[in-house]
Parts: sequence; structure tokens; C-alpha cells
Amino acid sequence: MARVETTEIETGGGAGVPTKRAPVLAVRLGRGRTGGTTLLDFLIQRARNQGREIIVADGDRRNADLAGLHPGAMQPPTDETGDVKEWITAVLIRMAETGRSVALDLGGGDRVLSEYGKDLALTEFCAEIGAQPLALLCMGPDPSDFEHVLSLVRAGYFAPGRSVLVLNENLVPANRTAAAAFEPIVTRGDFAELVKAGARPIYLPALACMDHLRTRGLGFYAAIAGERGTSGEVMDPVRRFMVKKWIARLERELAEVGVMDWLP
Amino acid sequence: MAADDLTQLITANRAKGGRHSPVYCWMRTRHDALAAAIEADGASWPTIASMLVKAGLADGTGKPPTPERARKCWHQVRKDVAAARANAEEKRKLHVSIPIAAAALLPSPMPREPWRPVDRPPDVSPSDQPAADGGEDLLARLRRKINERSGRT
Repeated sequence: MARVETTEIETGGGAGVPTKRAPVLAVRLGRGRTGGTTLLDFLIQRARNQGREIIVADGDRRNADLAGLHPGAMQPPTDETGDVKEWITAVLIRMAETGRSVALDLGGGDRVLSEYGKDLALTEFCAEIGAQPLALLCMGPDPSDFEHVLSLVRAGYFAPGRSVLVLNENLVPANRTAAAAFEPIVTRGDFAELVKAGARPIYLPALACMDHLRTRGLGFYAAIAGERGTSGEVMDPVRRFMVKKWIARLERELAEVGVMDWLP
Repeated sequence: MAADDLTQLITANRAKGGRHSPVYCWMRTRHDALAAAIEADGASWPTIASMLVKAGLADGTGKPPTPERARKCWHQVRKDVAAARANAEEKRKLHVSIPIAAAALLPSPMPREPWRPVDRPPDVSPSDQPAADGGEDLLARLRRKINERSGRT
């Protein structure tokens, strides 16, 4: 697939030249259905669109959405902690051997990470092999989503210096505004504390035609390039424009909080 | 820690537990991919055994795996994975959700051995530095974005 230019904000290797950068271990954490898969999927497609290879690893066997979108994804054989731990080791071996970034979906992740942390400190391991760990902490407006994120951060299961707090607009109830829905979270003192400590907060905008894309087996960049999905359909120009604007908006979010060089 | 060390870590962990051979662990970790490959192309056990030998993996007796031992090990892995999946499915069916109100009363799980900070400072880029204003700009930006999307501008 040809590289697709999507936004006025250039990202990474300009003029189609892939940028050589340290591999990134991007780990999605947070409760299920909080937009982590969408963000990881975007980062995977973004890296590939810019000419960087990336390993896709879906450890959430109960909702293996990422593996559904990327059929070659690595998956643990079962969701038993022992199997998932062995599988994480296999993922890390592949990262170390290939020097490629990893997009890792661990679902809720706390149980496995707490167990795995006894065998191998992920952040230290990343430093050892020259990789950069990145935590993607996803939440909707439900205060318990943030509580879950907070408990993960405080427990220190996986607390790299690079963390992004992702507020997912898609989860805002139809009868509420995003401002009203997220206000209880963004005005909390402990939310401000996380930001003060270095976490970068971004707003993940909703994409109205997301289901349309998914059901037609189209990636974001393939859709705007006019390619055919697995259904054989080409995205219509209206939805193509929506996807293009969504990508541009998300790129701007990432650029404005200064995390472009954190991404896979 | 290099990849070789990680492989040794698996081997060492297994040696401690002593339950499964490195070949078994290797096959179980890659169960889905291996099953798909065997289903698509059939199983050539001499080829698979040769690949395992090249990877330096040993069977339960510590020897390089023969085709027959590799086949038997795969049979065991398939059986165990099927049983584990059936067990997980059974647990899922029996799982009773904790009501939200009750869950809110439960304390956050704490690790018995929290991770320690890294001994050496990681490589940092300018974007790794915490915001000089204590993140006020980042918070103000976030609120502005949310307001924009809510039509409050």
C-alpha cells in the first residue's frame, strides 16, 4: 500500500522515508471497551503507513478485537495467567530479535502484569534492549474507568515515564456533551497529579463511520486511499473525508501534547 | 537482558517447576500459529523436529527431539490447550459479576512485590521532560478540546 498523506502535521519520516527510531513497546491498559483497540489499531496502521514494521500482540482473549483486525497478530493460547506470561515472553523475544515496535493489548491487564512483574521488570528490560516503553491508559467518562487507570498507575505494574491518558469521546452517552461527561474526571486532583508527573492527556475523537469501516474490512489509510476492503467495496467520498479529518484531528492531538516521538 | 537470556529465563523457570520440556513450552506458546500451519500444510514431523533442534530446544529428557517425540509432544500440547480452553469457558459461564456498588467498596489490588524504579536513568528526549508549568497547559488544552467538541466555544 502506498504511503498516504493525511494531515498538514507531518509525522515521522517525511517524504515517504521511514524514520529509524528505537522500537516502542506500546501497551494498552484500562478497562475493556474504552477505546484501546481503536487507538492501538490506529497506531499500527500509522506506523505501517509510514514504512515501519510493527508486531501486533493481542493478549485479551476474551475480546480479541485487535487480532480480529490484524489476523497475523500474536495471541496467547489461553487466557490463563501462565500461558499469557509465557506468551508475553515470546512477544518480547520477537521484539528483541527483530528490533520492531510492539502494539500490545493486555485487556484489563492488572492480574497478568502483577504476576509478570515478578519475573521481569518490563521497563528495565526495555531500557536494556534500547526499546522505549509506552503506556496507553484508556478511559471513557465513567469515573470507574479512571479509578481503574489510577489503581494500575499507583500499583506500579507498568509505569514507564511515557504515559498517555486517553479520553475516549466515543463513550460519551448520546444525551450528554463530552464536556459534561468528562468534567468529573478532568477536574479531579489525582488526574492533575498524573499530568503533573508527566502523563500526557489526549482526547480520542469519535469516528462516526467506524462500524462502516470495520464491517467492510477497511483500514483507515486504505479507506482514504480509495482501496477496496475485504468486502470488495471502496469507501464513499463522504466517509472518506470523515476518516481523513479524524486522522488529522488525532494527529493534531498527539502533536499538541508532544508525544510524536513516543509512538511506534 | 538479551533474547538468549530470555530463552534461558524460560528454561530456568521450567527447570524450577520441572513440569514441561522446552519443546512443550515452545509449542504451547505458539499453539495457534502452529496449529494453523499444520492444518494448512500438513505436519512434516522430521522438518518440525529439525527446526526444534536448530532452535536448541530439548525434549523432556534433555535430548534433541526426534520426529516421533515432537509429534507426541504436539499431541499433548493440543490436548492441554483444549482442556484449558474448555476450563476457561466453564469458569466464564460460572462467573457472577460483582454489582458495581459492591465493587466500589473493594480495595484496589496491591502487588505483593511492587516494581522497583530502574537503576539507571532511561534515555530521554526533550518530549520526556515533565511540563514546566506542572501540566497546567496540558490540562487547559484538554478542557478546551473537550469544550470545542461539546459546542462550548
